Amino acid sequence: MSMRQILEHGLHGVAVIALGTALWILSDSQGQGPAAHRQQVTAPDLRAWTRTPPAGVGLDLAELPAAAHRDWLAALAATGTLVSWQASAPLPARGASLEPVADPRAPLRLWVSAGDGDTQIRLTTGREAEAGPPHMLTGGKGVFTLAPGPAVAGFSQAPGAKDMAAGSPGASSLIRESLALKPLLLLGAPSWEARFMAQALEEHGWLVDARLKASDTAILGVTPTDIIKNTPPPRRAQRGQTGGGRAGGARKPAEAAAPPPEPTPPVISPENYAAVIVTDASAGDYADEIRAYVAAGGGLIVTGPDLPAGLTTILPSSHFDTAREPSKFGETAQPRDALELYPLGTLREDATALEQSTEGIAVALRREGKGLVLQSGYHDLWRWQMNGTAADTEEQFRLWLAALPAAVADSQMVPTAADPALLAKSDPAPLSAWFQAFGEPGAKPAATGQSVLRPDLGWLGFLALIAMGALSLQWASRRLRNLP
Amino acid sequence: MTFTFATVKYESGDWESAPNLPAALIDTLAKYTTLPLSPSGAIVELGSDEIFEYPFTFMTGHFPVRFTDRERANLRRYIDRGGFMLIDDHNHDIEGVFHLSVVEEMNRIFGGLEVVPNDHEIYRAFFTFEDGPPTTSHEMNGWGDQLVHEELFAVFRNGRIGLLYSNKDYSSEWDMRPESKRFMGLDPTLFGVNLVVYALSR
Repeated sequence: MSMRQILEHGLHGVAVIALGTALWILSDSQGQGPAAHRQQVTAPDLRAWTRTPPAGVGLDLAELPAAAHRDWLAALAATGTLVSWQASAPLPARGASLEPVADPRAPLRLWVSAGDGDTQIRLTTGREAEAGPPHMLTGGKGVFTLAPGPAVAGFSQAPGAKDMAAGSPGASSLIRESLALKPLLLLGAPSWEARFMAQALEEHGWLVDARLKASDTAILGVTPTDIIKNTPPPRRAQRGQTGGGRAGGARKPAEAAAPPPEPTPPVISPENYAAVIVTDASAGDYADEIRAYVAAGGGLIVTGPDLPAGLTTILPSSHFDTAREPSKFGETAQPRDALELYPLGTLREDATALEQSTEGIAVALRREGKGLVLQSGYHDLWRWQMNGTAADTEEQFRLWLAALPAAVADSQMVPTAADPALLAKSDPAPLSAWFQAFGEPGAKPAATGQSVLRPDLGWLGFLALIAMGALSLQWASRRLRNLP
Repeated sequence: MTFTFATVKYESGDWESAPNLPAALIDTLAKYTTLPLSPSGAIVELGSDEIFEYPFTFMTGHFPVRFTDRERANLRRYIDRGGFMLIDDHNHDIEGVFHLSVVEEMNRIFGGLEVVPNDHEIYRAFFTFEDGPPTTSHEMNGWGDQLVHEELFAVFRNGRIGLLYSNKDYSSEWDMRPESKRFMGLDPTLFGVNLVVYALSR
């Protein structure tokens, strides 16, 4: 065999090796398993696909997979498995949003959307579903207040939920803002309104710094001390001790009763107070400070008809319509209907009515600068607590009152950095996340990243070039020897 | 917003034994404070729903007190809902029938009375009484049980005084026509201002 023949055989061998290598690369890049078709994504499937990646996964979904399964599948898609999907039934757009509320007892508010129809859900905090009966969501929408604690909350299906298939996830949300509660400042004269408000708000968990003008010279600082710190009540007297004393005549009567020392004036700023509550016109002494406070982001609540003159310009309404007389509790549809009401007159254009009665607007809100101003036309609210006929009157009264500062102190929320560990537990909009991971139905993955198994086209081209070159040289050499 | 001084009328006993006390106290409140005041007091039955329209009430008497079931239930609810009641022993006598029967009722309704420490805020609510409850002339003169009662007693609700019980006999001390106070070196009703301001602010 001549040297030329050896060279031709060598070129042939190079071409065969190059083509064989290209075929091996191609076959390896196609995965080791056949394409899979499923109606739902399960953990066993995902485990199997992780060990032996299929060339593609076709999904015909009646329900969105759980967030963990979705993310797992997205990871497989990122390594080369082609994922395509279509929906065999309309996929509901569920969502959850968790936000802080200025409320010591229920500092979290969870907004829930579970689809379009009525359905039952169970709230979850972290990964735990709450105990107790499920919640019925009318129209699939609802809002819940939560006790302190969870950074992640959401909902899951409740057994028997008619429009949520078994195993379907709900949604969960991570709290992304913080709201440090500061005390409330209560300004007015000593009155049943001020006292019952302060009492109810304190019992709800607020710290109330009350500055009550009892006379032209006496401002009483009822700043919480022993009451708020929940010191135990004085020890009980021994039986029989009640009414005891010592022999008369041994003690002199009080020479003089000293007037109270005036407390340090409050520094009214958003740094010190979550909201300022004004119960009557005597708070007009602080009008300038209050207006500056609201403009800087503070919350203001003004109740009743006795408006401080210096504050009327920032209220939702500066006058009242014809007042409603108080009536007997238990004879009205709801307790507040029995209260005396001064309906708010024409609201300013930027004000929003929050509560309405048949006589007119009872509560309204508007923004002033960076702060919020809430005005209530109810008078002698304390009558609700004293006269209410419901067994849970005190609780109703507290909850309604606590909603007032919660409405105006929201402007002081601060965004916080999300903890990655907690972020992984939240899935606020599953349908949106699914589209983001796998694109439109029927389409190939929108973003799968660089596959480690995808054939390298440059390398394949290089191999093909080598094979073609070797074969061409072999063919040319043989033609020159007049061989086919 | 107007403060009304209400005297409690109960079925047993002589609830009306200090008829001038409301006027004397209202006069003092008007003199030292700017509180909006009802010029005359009110009389309200303990067993009626009307009592819940008066968060401050005053009760006194000399005779045995036996509340009806309705009165007991109302009193319990009144304190639970945030009302403030001052009960004063008009006998100034811990062996007297008023004291013994009221303490028994308090034990029955509230499980007993608790001592109010003499540094409690009620003694600083408006005027400052360094030594606790001001003494009365009856105590100083040795009338009644011949004792100076060092402390007051109370039923507390969520840390606040809901019902204040006194053996000091303020009913006698404060039961005067307002114009009589001009002849006194020290207005004896000043402590009443503290009670009202405390009830209106705590």
